Amino acid sequence: MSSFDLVIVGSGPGGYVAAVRASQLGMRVAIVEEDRLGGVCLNWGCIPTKAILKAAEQFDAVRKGEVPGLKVSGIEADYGSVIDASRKAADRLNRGVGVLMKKGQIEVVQGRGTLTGNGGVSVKTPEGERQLQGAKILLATGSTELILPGVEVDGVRVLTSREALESRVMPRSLVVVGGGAVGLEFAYSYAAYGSEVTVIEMADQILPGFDSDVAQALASSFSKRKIKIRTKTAYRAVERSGDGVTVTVEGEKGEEQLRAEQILFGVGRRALVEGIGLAEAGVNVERNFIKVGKDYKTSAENVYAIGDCIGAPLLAHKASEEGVAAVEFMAGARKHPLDYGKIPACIYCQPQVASVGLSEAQARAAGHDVRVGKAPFVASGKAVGTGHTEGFVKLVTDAKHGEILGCQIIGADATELIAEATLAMSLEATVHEIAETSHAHPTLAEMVKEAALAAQGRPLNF
Amino acid sequence: MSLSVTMPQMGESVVEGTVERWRVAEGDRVEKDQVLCEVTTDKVDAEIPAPVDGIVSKILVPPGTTVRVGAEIAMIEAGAGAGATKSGGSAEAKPAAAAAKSAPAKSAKPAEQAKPAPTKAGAKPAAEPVGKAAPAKPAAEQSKPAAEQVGVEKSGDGRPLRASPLARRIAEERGLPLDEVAGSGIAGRVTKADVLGHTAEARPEPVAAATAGAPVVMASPGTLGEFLASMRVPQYAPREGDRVIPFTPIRRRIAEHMVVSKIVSPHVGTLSEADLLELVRRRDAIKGEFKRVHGYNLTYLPFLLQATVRGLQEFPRMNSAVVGQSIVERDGIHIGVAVETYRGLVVPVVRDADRLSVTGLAQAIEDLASRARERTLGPDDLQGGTFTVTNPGRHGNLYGFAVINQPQVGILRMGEVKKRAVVVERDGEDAIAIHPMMYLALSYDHRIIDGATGNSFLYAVTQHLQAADFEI
Repeated sequence: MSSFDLVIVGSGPGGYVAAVRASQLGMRVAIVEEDRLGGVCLNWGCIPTKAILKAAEQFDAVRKGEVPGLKVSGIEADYGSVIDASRKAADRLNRGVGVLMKKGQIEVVQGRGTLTGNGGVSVKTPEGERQLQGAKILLATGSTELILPGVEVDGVRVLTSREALESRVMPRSLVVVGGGAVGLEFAYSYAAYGSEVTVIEMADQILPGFDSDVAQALASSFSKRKIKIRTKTAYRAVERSGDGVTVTVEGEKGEEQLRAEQILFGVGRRALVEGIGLAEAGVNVERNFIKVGKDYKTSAENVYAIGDCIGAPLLAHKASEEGVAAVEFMAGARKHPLDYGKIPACIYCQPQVASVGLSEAQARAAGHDVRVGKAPFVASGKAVGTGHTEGFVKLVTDAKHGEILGCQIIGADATELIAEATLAMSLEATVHEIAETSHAHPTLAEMVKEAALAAQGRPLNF
Repeated sequence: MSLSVTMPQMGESVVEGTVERWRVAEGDRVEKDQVLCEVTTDKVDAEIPAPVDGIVSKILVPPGTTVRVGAEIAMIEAGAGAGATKSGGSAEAKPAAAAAKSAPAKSAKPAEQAKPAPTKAGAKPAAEPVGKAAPAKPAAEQSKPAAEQVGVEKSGDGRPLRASPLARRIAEERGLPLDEVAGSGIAGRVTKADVLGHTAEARPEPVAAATAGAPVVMASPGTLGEFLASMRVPQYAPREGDRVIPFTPIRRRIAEHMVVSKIVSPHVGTLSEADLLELVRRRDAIKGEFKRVHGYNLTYLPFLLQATVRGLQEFPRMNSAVVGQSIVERDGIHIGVAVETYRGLVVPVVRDADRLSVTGLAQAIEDLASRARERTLGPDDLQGGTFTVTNPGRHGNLYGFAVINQPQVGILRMGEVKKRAVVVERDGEDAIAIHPMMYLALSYDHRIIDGATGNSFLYAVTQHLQAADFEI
């Protein structure tokens, strides 16, 4: 048996970051991983999809002749090599995590970890069962694709994001079930390569929960890209037939059948809380997520949990923040809990979408005296110069003190621009501070400042 | 000659005051009685005048800071500069006007002699901010000289360094000194939530404050004090959509006083019904003339005050205070009259109420009430009450029991005057008549007043009121 100050189960963006932080704080750390270091994010989520999206964006620009000075004929897609590139990116980062573990003298134990109670973790390694003992245990087991009852994922006709990331074949047509981040990113990529894509979403807008301005802007942009969007439409059933699938959906006009070569489910994720000895160790699970306090303590003594396995939002950076916070709480190095109202969410299709804090509707519902500052990218010199005039920055503020309640951005590099608003919210800067901060010209970030000025009723460039 | 200006005593239970703003700056030349700063305390807003002509050599307390009574808040170089020629010599004779005024009055009262000196303020050389989130600070810092502590964590403009722009904006708008707020944000930064939650939280030493105000009950502070300190107060965490209104200093102190009073005194309530037929006749007969002569309405309150005075004369136990293991029946009858102002409840005192006619009482009440509304009540108007009468308004007020105004032992609350069908005896026969009636609700301190005394007193007051045999 090997003893550690901290045994972490799961090496995703929550677990490995927690391991690094724990090592910095002087803990002796072991991290248990049954698959590959880096978890879903790095291997089967955030990272490989970004490689695919970037390739899709470039291919799309070239195909549409949007690159000035570039004349192309006989353009041909090679989607297989896009998948290869995405795997390379994932592999490289996977090795990077390995290096970080070595640097922090963190012991990586390969295999599935199961709690055995009283600080014990049993790991089924390729070499046999190994017992680890941790003064503290951190569960960071993450989540996996949610598969609807009755759906049989075969990786050929019926896929989730996991299969799609290895599928080298570009279908001629695709039905995407789910108008959230995963569904829309795949919809965009596949459409860019010429696939006929239909997105099915049950809610009355794509990106449920996002600001409706942003959702509408994205929907209209997608429509221009010939992506069909069906909101208020529920998935009912799928049947394999010939060289494709027949998907039964139910919209406002009743049931209807859609034909496509593939169907991709992006309907959410399920926490991995089974078969890891939670009940035996006294760790309570509520609604399929591990129940924790603000300090990430579970119901079992000295057992902590973070990331997707404790609940929404299921985001890599949220898991990382929780990992750091949990370890700091353990070490007594932290007092303030994580502020969940200031965690950004991003979608990496084109135009990109990024959001932090409240949507306009949420802010109004919360009783704020809402003042919106909205700056369109068409007013940005940089956007016009680089041909990215689609979209806007929208600051949702409270009129009284200029408090920034939320920021919604749609457009090129939205996912980078959101950092400014997030920092502002984190520091409780108001529109007054943003409006008085010098922003380099020409940049897209100037539009964040313009939005702040607009919230004050004095935009300078539109 | 350098003189110190101290936080004056501005009410019996007042142990601290908040400097709201300075009207002068260091280096300013001031004339005697020129206003140096504005101060808020328990129940009163006051202006602190310069005790002498001179130059403000040092301001020791930044705006928004709460300090103990007696703490030094500024230094004046008496007679310096042009002022010297005007009235150089008077400086030494009269330090800090307000403080000097209240000192003799204080020592004359046994009730207050028994109070432990505010030791903190006394022992330390300069103003010590109170209500600061002490636990958040390392012990080493607390032991620093107080003057130095005032300067700690301040930026050049006197504001704490670690506070978000939003927190600053909200605090500024609400006049909340940021250095009183414990930061919960990144690296201890003061956030919006801290500012909003600040006044809602229990202050670090509420129990200690209660002990200081009422030493008697806390005869064994090791037990009751610990018990109180161990109590958990359920807290509500404000959510989006809630309206959070931070306590003003006056609200905070009212809240503190009410809690302390309920802890200190076991309240007993007793209720009587007064038939005001005679009183109404009497008042109706003179009220028109009264209004014409005096310019304000003659209410029932001065009548009730006179009836109360008589009751107190007959039952001096009701006009007492508890001091240590003794009951102190107080010399003089000074009746506090609770007045609702837009800023909160204040209780100015009608002094020597036993020497006043109904007209005199009405005059005194009118004077105090109008000055309370105009915020020109002085410290002397608020201290020294021996008993309190409260009239929370005419409508929807059948009766109710008030909280005793410490360190008094009783409070009488008027109900609304309402016509009711009552049974009266006429010519030996019972009959139903319509009379104006009023409930009188007495809360008394059962530590020293038992049921018989309480009831007898209330009965006496009721009888006097009904008899309507007043000295107009």
